[in-house]
Amino acid sequence: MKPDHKRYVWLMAFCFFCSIVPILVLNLFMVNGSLENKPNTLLASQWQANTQGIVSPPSVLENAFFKLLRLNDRLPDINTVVFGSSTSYGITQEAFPSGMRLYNFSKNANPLGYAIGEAEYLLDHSQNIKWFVIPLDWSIGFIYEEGDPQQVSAADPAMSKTISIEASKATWLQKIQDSLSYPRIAGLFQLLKSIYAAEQKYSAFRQIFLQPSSDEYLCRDGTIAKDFDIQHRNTCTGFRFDGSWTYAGHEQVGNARALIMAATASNSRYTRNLLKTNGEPNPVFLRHLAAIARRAEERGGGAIFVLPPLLVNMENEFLQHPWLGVYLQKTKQGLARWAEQEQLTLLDAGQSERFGCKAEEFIDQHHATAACYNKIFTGFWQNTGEPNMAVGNARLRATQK
Amino acid sequence: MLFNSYGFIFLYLPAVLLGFFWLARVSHAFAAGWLALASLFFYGYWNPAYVGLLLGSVAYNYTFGLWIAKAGVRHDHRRKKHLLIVAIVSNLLLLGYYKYANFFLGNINAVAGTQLTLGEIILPLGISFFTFTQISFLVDAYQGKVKEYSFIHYTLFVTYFPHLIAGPVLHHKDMMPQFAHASTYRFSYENMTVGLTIFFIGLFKKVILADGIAEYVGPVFNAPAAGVQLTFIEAWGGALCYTLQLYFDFSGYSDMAIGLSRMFGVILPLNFHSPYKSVSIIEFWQRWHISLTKYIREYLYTPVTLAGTRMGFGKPALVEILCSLVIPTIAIFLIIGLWHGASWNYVIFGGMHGVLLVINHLWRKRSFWLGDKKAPSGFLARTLGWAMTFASVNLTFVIFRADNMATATAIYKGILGVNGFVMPDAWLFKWGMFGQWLEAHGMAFGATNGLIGGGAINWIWILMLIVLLAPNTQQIMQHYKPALGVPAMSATRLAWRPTFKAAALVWLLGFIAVINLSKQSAFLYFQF
Repeated sequence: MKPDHKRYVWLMAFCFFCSIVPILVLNLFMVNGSLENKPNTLLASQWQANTQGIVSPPSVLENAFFKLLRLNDRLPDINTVVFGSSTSYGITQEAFPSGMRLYNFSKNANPLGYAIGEAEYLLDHSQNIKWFVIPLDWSIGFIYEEGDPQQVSAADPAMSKTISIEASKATWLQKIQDSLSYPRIAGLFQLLKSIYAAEQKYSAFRQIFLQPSSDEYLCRDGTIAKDFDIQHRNTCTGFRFDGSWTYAGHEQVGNARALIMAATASNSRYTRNLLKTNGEPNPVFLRHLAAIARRAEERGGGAIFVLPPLLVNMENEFLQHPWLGVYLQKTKQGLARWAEQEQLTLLDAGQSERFGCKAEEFIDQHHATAACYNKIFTGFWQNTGEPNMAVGNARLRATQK
Repeated sequence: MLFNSYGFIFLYLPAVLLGFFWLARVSHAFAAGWLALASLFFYGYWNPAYVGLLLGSVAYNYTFGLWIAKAGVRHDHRRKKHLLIVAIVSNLLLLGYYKYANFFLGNINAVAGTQLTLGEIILPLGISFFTFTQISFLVDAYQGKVKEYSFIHYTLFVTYFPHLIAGPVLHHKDMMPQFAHASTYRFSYENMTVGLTIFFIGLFKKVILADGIAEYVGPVFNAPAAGVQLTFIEAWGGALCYTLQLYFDFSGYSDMAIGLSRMFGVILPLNFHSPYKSVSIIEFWQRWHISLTKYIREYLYTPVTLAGTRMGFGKPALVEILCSLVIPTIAIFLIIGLWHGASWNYVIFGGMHGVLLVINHLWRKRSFWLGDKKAPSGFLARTLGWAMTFASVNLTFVIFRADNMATATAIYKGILGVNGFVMPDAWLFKWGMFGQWLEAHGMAFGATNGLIGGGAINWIWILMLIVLLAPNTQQIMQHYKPALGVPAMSATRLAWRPTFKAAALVWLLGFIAVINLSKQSAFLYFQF
């Protein structure tokens, strides 16, 4: 039989057309909703301001703009700000005494140098912020990063006309590239599966592909929710009004032992972070942090530095390691000494089991849910006593001692 | 512009193909001109400033080629020779300025303590390729071998985008007749199917295999500079990962170049033919970067060796060997090393291969020198030959990849086990009973730097199986003359035919590669 090259060419063209084009079109619809899309982020922020509900912003991973909008919206009502990265997502208002009205300003992948810059900005510009909760992460390496803290502006972006009306900066080529990337395509298949499984298929399709956000829906506890991101639709996954993250659509830790083994292996990110400076925290950061605490105390508040909780028994495993243990001890003892010398409040929650946390209250090795954080802070307030808002941190520190 | 980018695959290539075959219906010269212009755009997309340099080089060499040919017609041998010398020297000076000037000044400064500098010189992409291509044209013009002097075809021959950036080094006698042939300008479904298939095989090799294993290479080769002592496993793992990365990168690029060209009806010379299946270092160089080896052999090695043989003729055996084999081979390979880049690492890489080739040649001649009757050629001998060749190539690629001698030395130390033979502690857990058994029998598990994990080991053995057992692209496409100069080979059951199954498989390879393009990276051979 004569080889049919013509048929082969058209077959290939057809296959590519049928595979690439639908993927491109569907993903392009969604890219706008998941690249950092400022107009939609504004909508998400406004919706939360109006409803006090749970919202997932257009980009769960690039949520800095959303958090900045929310912080500025909440500034008149709050006196406590939680800084840091996603490890602090589990810190809720519930964990604090009623006198401390907080907004959890932690953002995805927000390094300590940046968090220090944000705290310094708020000290300069927001007199009513008295309490600064700052995580000192060794496990994700932020405490070991080199250099000086960044100078940051936490000014209200919504006040700037240029930013508020600015569309996504991604070019069409970037959007096409993003739409055809493997992670996007894998995500698309997950969504198509969820649409297929949905009772109201057209409604599910419409909400994902044709609208910037889902319809409003009610969570189990009666809180209203709306999703601008497409990853965890209709699962009540998102930021609460206090800025904390619900972790509703995330799987809890199953096999903690395997995770700990993976974490303490010599090629893990945790080990590599410890090796960055052999456990030596950045002294420049520590100087800035101490100065932040001083300034906060001067205005009648204080700073609480938190070594975030790690999966139960994980830190202990590190401490027993022959040489990683030495580095981690150096970090912990160094920070304790620093806190002692500077008379600072340091809450070391690394060994979360000491506070009664359980493995199922973690998402992975270093992301604790609100349930664990609440236990940690409950223990903390029992030890230190709740701060007297009139006399501020002096009492807190005295009780801590 | 990279072959493995969305812009190239979905915009540039379709536009150039459509324009080429549409213009070919009007005029072949227009189509060739369009392809040359498109090639210049392809080149200029990286840095428009160097399009002028490329065009200037093309015009200069074309003019000199014409003058040399005219002098030949007039039998003015003296002028012909002078013109050739001027043209070659000016080409080498241009190459030397862009590629080697700062290297040599740096060495002079280091030795003499001077501060000579030419400032930062940006190396034009593909300058080695287009310079060598044109020198061969000049030499052939001098020898009266050039039959065609169409300027458009010459420009296209030099700038032709499938080969422009990273080869193969083209020979005008292979290319000019194809540019002149009417069938090249007729759209052919067969050329398109063959071209598309080879292109997607190459794209898959580059994007999935080469880039997949690449992530394990950097950490190992960067570690010594950070003061990390590599373990035995890490050093071997890093070296093997790079050896395989380079293989699939170069193989993938060569396939893509051949496939792209085939879509335009032009068949490129073979450049890569399963080099890691070689059972000797001589065979390795007959399979690795074939066009460069052929070029060097034709224009440098053969004349130099002949001269050396003449010099050593009638002298004692040792002098004869030195003149006819050792000195020419090592000298030529030092130049090949330097061709890859202005660094002592490359020079040493070339020198190592020169020495290995000399040893290999001497081994082959041992029957003459030692009175052996027959070289061993059984399975065991071939396996041993393969293992020695592969290990040698792998070791020489360490210095090829290392940023400096200190890094290469540190990796060699790890390879030799100077820093110990500890296995990563994570594997003890992963291997379960087997790990415990090994530990009980003396295998040391402990903390390593974590640079080579189970992922890297899986990549290594899977890719090694592909390298050694899978048919190469030429074998797969053997019924459709995929490249020029493909040696005769045995039939394979995996030989490609334009069937539904083949289309589905190639689509799958292409689809997987395309959705992973967002991790695009420059081809390793671009830097050379």
